Amino acid sequence: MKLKTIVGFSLMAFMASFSILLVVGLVLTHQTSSSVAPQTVAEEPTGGNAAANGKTYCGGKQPCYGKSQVAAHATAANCWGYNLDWVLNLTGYAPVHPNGPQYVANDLFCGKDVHGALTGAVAIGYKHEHQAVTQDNGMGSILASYRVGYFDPDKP
Amino acid sequence: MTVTRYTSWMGWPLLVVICTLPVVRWATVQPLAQHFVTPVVTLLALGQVFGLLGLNLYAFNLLLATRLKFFEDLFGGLNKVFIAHHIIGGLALVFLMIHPIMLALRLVPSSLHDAAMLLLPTLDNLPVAFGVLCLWGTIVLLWLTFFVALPYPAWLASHKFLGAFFFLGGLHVLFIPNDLSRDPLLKGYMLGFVVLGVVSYLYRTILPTFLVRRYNYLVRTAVQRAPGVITIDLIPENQLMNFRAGQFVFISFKAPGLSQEWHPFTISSAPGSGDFEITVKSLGNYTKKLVGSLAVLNGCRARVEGAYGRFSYENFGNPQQIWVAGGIGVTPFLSMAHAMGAGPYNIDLYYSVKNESELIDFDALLTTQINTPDRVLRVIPFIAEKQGMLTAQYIASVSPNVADRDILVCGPPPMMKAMRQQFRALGVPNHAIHTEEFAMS
Repeated sequence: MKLKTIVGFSLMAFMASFSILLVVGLVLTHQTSSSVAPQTVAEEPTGGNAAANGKTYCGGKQPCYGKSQVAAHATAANCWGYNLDWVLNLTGYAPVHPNGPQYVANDLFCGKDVHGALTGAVAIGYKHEHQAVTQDNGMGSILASYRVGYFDPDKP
Repeated sequence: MTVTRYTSWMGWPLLVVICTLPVVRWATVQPLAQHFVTPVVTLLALGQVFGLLGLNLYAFNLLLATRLKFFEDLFGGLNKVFIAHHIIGGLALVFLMIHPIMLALRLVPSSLHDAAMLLLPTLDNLPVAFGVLCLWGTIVLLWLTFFVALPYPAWLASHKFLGAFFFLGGLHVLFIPNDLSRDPLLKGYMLGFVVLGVVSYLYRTILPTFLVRRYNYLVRTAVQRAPGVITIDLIPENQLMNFRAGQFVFISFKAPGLSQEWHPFTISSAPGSGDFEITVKSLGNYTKKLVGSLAVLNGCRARVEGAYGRFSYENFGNPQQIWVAGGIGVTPFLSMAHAMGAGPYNIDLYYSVKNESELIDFDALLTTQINTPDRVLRVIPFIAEKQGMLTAQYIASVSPNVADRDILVCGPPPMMKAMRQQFRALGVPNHAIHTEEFAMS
């Protein structure tokens, strides 16, 4: 096959992929989270209450978890972590983690605070940067569809 | 000089090694199986590998563009270097396009938005933006190269920006957080090639006036030799440029009404006399203007760069040779015939032209003929209007033992292609057929 043919074919394939991604990706932006199957998580029937001991946690948002409740999910098969006020199902997120699942559902993160790792502030063996929206739980966070509840450090 | 014979095949294997090393290292930074545990991770792995390959090829291509003699030795002449440059450039583009597509596809399951944004430059992720800009710039410039027939000066001007886009690609490598930043060896290797590429770009494109060795020459005479064909004799203003028979130079003439573009010309005179001659036929836009400027060329200054090329009878160990010249393609053979060195050469030069009026310098060429028991140089004219097309079969019917000879062909590209096919059909091995594809403009 001639070089010109190969380059021409590749250019067309690239432009086609690019156009499809652009149209689909940007048109469907707001539907991103619904395009991912909802995570089925066994919620703790009582643990997720925003109200306890006469106090209200997580600004009243349900379900609400404290440190010890997140820490109960500390195995790779049942791995939760929290980023700011979100509790995340890391077992669900791991298979789609851009740099590989081995960096997600492990001892560093399961049952723990993952914010430092998301921003790159905490050394985890290699430099790791997520987009600002993901670091701050903003609109378009890659983690939005793996949120299983809210986090309040004061909740027992 | 015959060293060329043993190194001229080494360019491509060297490139394969250069491209393989970082991939091998990449594959050992973490257990290889981990790169393929899920489809998402596999896409990431492929994206990374194609990125490494594409950038290495890109850097190597800038190295080739320096025209350093080292690369002539590795590929067997500057024309072969330029052919390699063309092929490698095409491959680099293909690999660099696969790189972000794979990386974008791996984001599709988690976020279509992120996948789409990966191919657009954004300010919140500069390392990726550098890579995206590098890719889009390269795509546009190589699209011009492969698919748009720009006038040569416009194409050359556009092509010079590739180095700038490569620099952006280098910044992408330097700042991107990934396997590279985790492994100093891999990062060092890739950055080393980035630096080599950028230095090559500075040398050849940004600062050639200061860094590339060039000679000042004066046009001593310019005379018409045949219809549309002139011979220009150049003498050094100060420093003398060395060359061997069959080589070519790049020249920029400073003549009134003529642009100062650099163009390649084969030297048609023998080395050793201080001056040199080029013989030019009006074939393209520039050569038409140059031939038309005959009246104003005398005494003009010229900048000369070279000499380049490995198309010389001395470089091929076999003293039994056939030389095939088509029209103006006779120029390297004029130089070689007049420079024939000692040695048991047995050479037949076939000089094919449309009609007798096209024969250049033919009387002088005939005087170079040798016919002794241990040395032969025969000049055999071939007039197409009377004899038809020159074929390898005809040559084999005139010259004995064609299959045991090295064949040197210089002429129009279709002729060189046809000659290669015909001689191969006669049992001449491909490596014994040498063509000069480049110095015809």
